[in-house]
Amino acid sequence: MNIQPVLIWEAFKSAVSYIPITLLITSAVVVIGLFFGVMVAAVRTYRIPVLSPLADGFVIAFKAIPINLILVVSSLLFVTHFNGIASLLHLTVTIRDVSRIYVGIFALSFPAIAQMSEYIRGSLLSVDRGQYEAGYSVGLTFWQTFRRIVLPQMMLVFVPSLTGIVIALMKATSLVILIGVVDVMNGALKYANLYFSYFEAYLAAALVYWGLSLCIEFLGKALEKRIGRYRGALHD
Amino acid sequence: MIEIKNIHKAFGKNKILNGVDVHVDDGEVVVILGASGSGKTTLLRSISFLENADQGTLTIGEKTVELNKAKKLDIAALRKKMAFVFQNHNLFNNKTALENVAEGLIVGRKMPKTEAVEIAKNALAKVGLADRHDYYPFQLSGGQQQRVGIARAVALNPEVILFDEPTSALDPELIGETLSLIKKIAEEGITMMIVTHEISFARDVASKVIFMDGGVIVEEGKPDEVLVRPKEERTRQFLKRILKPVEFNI
Repeated sequence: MNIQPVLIWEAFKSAVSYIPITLLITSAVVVIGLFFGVMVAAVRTYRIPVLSPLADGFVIAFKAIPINLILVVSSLLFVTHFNGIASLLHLTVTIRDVSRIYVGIFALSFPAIAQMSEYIRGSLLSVDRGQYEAGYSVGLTFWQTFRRIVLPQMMLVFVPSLTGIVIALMKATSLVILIGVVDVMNGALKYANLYFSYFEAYLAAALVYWGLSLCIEFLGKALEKRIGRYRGALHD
Repeated sequence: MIEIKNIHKAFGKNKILNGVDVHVDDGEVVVILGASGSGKTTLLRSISFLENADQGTLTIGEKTVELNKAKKLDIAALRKKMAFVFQNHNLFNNKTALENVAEGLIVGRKMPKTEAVEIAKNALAKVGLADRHDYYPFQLSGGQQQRVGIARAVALNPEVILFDEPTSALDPELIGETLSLIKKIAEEGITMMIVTHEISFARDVASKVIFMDGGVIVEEGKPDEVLVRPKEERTRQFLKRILKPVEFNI
């Protein structure tokens, strides 16, 4: 095969210019996934009546279906129903005002919440019941104990998985081309379509993803170190 | 004054408490003895609402509640009159020694931070850990952790401190220092209920000893009566078994 470095470089530059889109979608989905993931996990862990089976159903449903399916269905619903819902809520926006990026964020959030909540639930269960009891015994409410004692300790267990989840989500954002959003992957492929230089384009995309992954790994390690200061080193 | 009446508690079909009454006067130190499974820890945990008792009433000071019907507000109000020292100390792992002691004051009691920190520092000084404010639990020895646990309870200035086997998880060398600390605090006149297996300690600090077996109180009275001249056969058996290896004296 005849690899042309120039085309790798062109594809690489194009891919890099779409990094903000990939990062925007990834970080938005991570924040949404974390926030609702904690809620879903808490509802299931503490068996909160009524909500708990609903959360069970949510997680089971969204773990089961492929992400591209969710993307396409969200997009279809968006196209057919957005204007109706907007006018129902007396909003002046129409479908033309809303970027497809938000549809992508919306769609990717569901599997993210489902997946994160599973890891968070495991991490929550790792916090000893004695920590709750200690909280109650000094006059903290359940919510105070959860927020100030359990959540920080849960994060210590969760962060190593979080790094993996964030990288997986970042890769999943490449599917947004299905709904017409161009990201790193499809930015790289732009040139391939012109010059039939697919190998170069995929290689360029891989380089960008490697770079992004390394950054996420690095941030994850730093976060682990930061919140792990109360545990100390596990090695000698 | 603490008045506990007719507590019942079962785990499934396994009845742990079968109608226990305890009366504790202000400043009294009540030591609860008994074999494993006799219900003494469950009694303490039921009083502090860490277990939901099936039946029974609890009075602390002016406030009386039925244990199985207590509302959240009642539980919160009663918990503020109590502090608990756990067998395995249960310090907040993500907080320093000072934060562990101050947490209940700042968040639980809504005390201004500077005041709470002041009290926490005094409490840590009292347990001999004035130089360990910024240590996380993992940086402290088992004995030091338990002393932080005691400081955390004392700082709350509760009407009663409940000790659940405070030395059972410590190695023998550390038991002595922890017990003498508890004794020192007891001498300040704080009301205490202590579950323990340390008979000589019980004899030393208790104003009343309660011996439990099978979820009921078998015998109670002054330590010199219950521990030296037990009336009940079951108490005698227990003491004989626990005091048997007297090759040395602690």
